[in-house]
Amino acid sequence: MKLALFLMATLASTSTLAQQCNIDSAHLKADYKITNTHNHEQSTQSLTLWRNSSQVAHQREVITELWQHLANKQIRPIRYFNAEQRGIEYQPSEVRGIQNWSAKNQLVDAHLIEKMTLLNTQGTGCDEVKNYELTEGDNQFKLALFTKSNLVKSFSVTNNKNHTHTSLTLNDVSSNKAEITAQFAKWDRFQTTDYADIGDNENDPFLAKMINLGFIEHSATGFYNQQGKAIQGGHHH
Amino acid sequence: MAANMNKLTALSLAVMVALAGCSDNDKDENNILAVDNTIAVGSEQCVNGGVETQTGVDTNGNGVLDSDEVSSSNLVCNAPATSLTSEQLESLTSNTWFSGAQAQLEKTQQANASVVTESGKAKNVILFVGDGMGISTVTAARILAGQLEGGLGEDYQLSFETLPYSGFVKTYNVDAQTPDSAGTMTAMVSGVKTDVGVIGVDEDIERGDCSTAQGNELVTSLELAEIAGKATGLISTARITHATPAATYAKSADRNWEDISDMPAGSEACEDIASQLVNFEANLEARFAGIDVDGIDVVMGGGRRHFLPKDAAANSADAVSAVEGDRTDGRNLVTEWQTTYPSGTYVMDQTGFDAISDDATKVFGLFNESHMQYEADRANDVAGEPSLSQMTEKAINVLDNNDNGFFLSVEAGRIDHAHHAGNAFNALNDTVELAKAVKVAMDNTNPEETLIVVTADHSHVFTIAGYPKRGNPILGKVVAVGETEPSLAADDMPYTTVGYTNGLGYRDLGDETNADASYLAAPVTGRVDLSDVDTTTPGFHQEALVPLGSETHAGEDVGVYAMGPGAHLVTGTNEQSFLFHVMDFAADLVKTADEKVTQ
Repeated sequence: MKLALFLMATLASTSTLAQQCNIDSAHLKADYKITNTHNHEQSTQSLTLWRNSSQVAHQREVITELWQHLANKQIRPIRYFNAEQRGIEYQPSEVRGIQNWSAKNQLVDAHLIEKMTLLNTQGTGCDEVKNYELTEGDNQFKLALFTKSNLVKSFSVTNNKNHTHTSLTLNDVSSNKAEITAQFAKWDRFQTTDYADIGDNENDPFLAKMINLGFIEHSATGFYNQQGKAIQGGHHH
Repeated sequence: MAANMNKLTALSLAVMVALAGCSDNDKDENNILAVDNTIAVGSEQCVNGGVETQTGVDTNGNGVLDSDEVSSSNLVCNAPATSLTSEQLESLTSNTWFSGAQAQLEKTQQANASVVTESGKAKNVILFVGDGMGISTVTAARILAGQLEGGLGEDYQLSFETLPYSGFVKTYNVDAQTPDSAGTMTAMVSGVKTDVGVIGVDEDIERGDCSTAQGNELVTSLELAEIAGKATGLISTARITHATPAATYAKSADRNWEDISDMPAGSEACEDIASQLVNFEANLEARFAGIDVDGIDVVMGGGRRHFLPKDAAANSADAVSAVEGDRTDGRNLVTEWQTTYPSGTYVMDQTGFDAISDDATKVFGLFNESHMQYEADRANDVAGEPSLSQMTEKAINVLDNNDNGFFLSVEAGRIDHAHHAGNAFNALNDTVELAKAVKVAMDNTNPEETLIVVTADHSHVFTIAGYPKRGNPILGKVVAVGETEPSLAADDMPYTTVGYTNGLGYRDLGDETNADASYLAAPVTGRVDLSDVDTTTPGFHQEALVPLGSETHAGEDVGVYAMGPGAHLVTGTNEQSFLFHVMDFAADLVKTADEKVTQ
């Protein structure tokens, strides 16, 4: 409850009137806590969602995934390795089927939200939150979404059959454009390599590590596709 | 053993007849008979056939030499045939494999008869390089091309496979058993093998150390052609600053120094690769005093990022990054090039490309921020871009305006990238597109004055395996001869004909045409049940044995194919540096350039 009040106060501070909302939803920094529970064993991760116009980044401890939404609706991914200050650039992948930008931009796919049942709407202006619910198969989804900023306030998936529970909780949000712009500029200064060029750079210790070990490890990232499944993301190892 | 038995029996009969003969002669002296029996070809007695003459006395007077009346036998075998009749050869000549091969032999003989062994007879030289196009890639692409045209595939010929001369090339670098594109292309265009990862410099260099570059620069065939007064051109579907194209015009201690932001501190004395491209004319004239060259006439490829400043204001219409340019020195090399060549044509998309006039004097096309698209993915390019064959045709149309001829280097740069991603679909389709580009060159040049060389810089760990039946889809699962269902391995699962020894391994991205879109998953180790997977789709990535983040080059020889003056030298197994000498012999590049320098 304390947390919710804090968040609401933060968001409210960006609006001049309660009924209006001047928050720039295209420039945001949102800190989340991801909690995974399986048979009473619990693990937590932190995730920061960054929005900078047509760019979105998911920053975690080791890796930052950044996506650029192109004019032709293609999505171009870049994967940054925070400690090494290196990045791998990918060709804009032709996103098959329904565009999944929303899953990156707001962490929960808009198509999943469309399938959910709206329970109620609380608050006004920037504080307006819509609460949704969906039961599909063995999964029960719950979502609270700040509607003006399309920002997830909380999201959870519970599977009683598998005794798993995953939750995503917003801890803090900022719309400091200068900080956001600076962070994206910092990432932009990282040395990057085309994914297609990795194979030709066996002598680069950083890339050789990728060639020899592979560089992706499955891990729930906290964002969800239209089937409500966690999209697998990366962890460097 | 049977033959010996017969001989003994015959001897016994002969003895008996001889013993009995004294009394019979008194009865009838005129009943001696001789009979000739024809021995069939292939018989045990005479492999080539013959005649067995049996003689004896017709003791019972029936007019027939009965077996018990034979007293002697004489076998005469035919000598081996010294000629065959048309009837005897019919089983061969009526066979299309036989007649087809015979026709090919005649064609080869004619090619040999018309070979031009004199040096300097090639007015034009075109070097095609399929990056990573090993022998297995050529074979599989040939089958795919044939199957795409509705045939069985195996008997199909890619355009460059019809060239009259071919051989093998040893690709290793001076310091590496399995090479990279930088060292191999340097060998091809300079005649000197060098270290892995360095561009246009010899082995007396330390990779990444700028200070070691000076004094170790090599001269390339493109530079020699330029000095000799020929038109020069450069095409690649990779970034035009990438290792293979860069080796024709740049000198760099590291292949990755594509723009100034890629260079480490302390390397200020060295010029980045993109800068060397736009300064090519000035640099060459500074290097060889007294020469007057006009610069590279046609440059087309990807890699715009290395020519533009790191400033969003310089972005192109099809930028895929928020800031397209990488240059941290503020230079815009595109505008610099336009200043140097005010009558030149700079293009960055399909529309601009289509508008290039055949009488254009200078062409600079940068069609993508990084590499150009895979041929199968080209339709997804933001602003549109030309194919390799379209660029080849345009380049020839522009370059052949020079009466002194031209030198053109064409690289299919993305065969290599698709293989690195473990995606045979794109590797093979880009190889087929390279074959189309070669066909364009064959159709648009005079074979009596144009040397065309087609080769690869290195191979990949790409295999064609199993015992699929004839015409089995090359990207499909192995279906054995006489069968309709896929063969099963020892693990009771089907397997594909083509695969990789290492790399990311299996992934099924369906209709995804971008081979690079496989990054979201870790390497897949072990076998995957492909029973319900369509392995012929663009997004299927073949299984791999050794899990690596990227599939690797391979170290075996690659093929080289050639036609035109000097092509007869392309035979046998040679070092990669030999190819420079073939081109030099054909067009007298060194001799003509030397004359210009000493004038």
